[in-house]
Amino acid sequence: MRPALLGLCALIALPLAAQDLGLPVTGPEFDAYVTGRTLTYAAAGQIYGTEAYLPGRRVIWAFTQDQCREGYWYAQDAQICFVYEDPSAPQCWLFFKGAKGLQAQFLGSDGIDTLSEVAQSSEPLRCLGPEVGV
Amino acid sequence: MMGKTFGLFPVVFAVATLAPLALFALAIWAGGLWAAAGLIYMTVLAAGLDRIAAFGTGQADAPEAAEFPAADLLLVALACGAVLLMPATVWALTGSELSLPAKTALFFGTGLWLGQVANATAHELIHRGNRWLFRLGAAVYCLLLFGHHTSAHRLVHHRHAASLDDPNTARAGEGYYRFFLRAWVGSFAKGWAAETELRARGKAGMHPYLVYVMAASACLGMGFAIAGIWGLMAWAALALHAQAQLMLSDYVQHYGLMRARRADGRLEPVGIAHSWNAPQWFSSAYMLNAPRHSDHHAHPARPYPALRLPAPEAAPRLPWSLPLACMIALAPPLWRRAIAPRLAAWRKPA
Repeated sequence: MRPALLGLCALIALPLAAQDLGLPVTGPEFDAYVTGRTLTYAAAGQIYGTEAYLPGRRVIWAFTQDQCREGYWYAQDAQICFVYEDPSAPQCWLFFKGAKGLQAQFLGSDGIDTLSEVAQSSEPLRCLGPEVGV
Repeated sequence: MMGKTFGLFPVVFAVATLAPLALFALAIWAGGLWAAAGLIYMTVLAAGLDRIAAFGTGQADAPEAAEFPAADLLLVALACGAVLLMPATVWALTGSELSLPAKTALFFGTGLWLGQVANATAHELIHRGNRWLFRLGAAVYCLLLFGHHTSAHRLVHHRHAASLDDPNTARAGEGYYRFFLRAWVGSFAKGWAAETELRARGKAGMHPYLVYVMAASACLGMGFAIAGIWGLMAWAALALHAQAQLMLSDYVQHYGLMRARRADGRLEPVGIAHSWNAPQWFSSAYMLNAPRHSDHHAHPARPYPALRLPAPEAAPRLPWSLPLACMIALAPPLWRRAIAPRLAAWRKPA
């Protein structure tokens, strides 16, 4: 059921996305681009969140003004999927490489969220909230 | 990277819930077409607006631990509105001012509001830590002659949801009317036992069931004081109408979803896959996000504006809005046939 639904989403989203963005980046391409970096994403001009990409496909994600969540990613077909503790369901995206960096389209919610990479750094993510590790 | 579902703007909740209350007040005061307007709002308009995708949404989900002072204020206003609406409606239904069609429209319109908006309000309030907000929620359930839900919902339903130990979880194949009787009696008894056990363990204070019974008697007494036996019956009929909807939403929101038993013999914890959700914006607005039911069970204390909608492949989704699903459930053969393929997809591991 799940692969079928996601496949369907991808089928609909792919041609839409392919029109101006080319093909989605593959797992190895994604790995090479993000690992060791901390990327900040924005949606519709608003900062959406920041993710630190660690070696071994581990990630730390934080929505703006929110706590950090640790997780990992894997490639599945054309998608890059992220798993965190809460919610535990995989969060799957299609990533594209544009002139200004990565663009990501969320699969599996109502309406597809499109995010654009707006900042890059090699610094680790600064985490808010009670689970501060430093 | 995590995806967001989108929530409603706080003002949408206020407008969607308070507008019908204003229509009923006008109906009681001026009668006639206002009563029809109230009923149309709760039925045709609600169903129509739900079909317009995502109008009124666009606010990103609230961050963890966000606070919503205005959200609690709306709950208090709605609860007070319910406390005034019930006796006023009884008065209008038993008086000689309104025509029979107007009374009919007022009865069903008010009943729908009490069963969907006031119920959702009371439900939010009984999950609040603040003692006064909690008591206000209990008072609204008492108004609906359903005080025991305050105990049973928190102590029984949340603990045992999606298992045979929860009277308010509908078994696959069980029809709504049979469920109503079993869940009504079962939740009353199990809620009572849970409160008694708390007292045996040293919790102080009066047994809440004494309060529920006394409050229900006082409500019926007020109905009698308003218009004699017809007043009492009007109050009871409105309360029953509201209770029927409360039970319908419990029926629909957990229908057939049961937790698996793990190797050690214990049930798996309640997860997001153990509730049916519905994304439609307007019914979500006037039911204070109650259709985002999985997240409510995962985070019972999370205030309604912050409830999130899980992705459709992560948690079961009804193929209809919650009110429409409830309508379908009123015809058990139709419901069973329509939901069976969806349920089968969730019962088989993907």
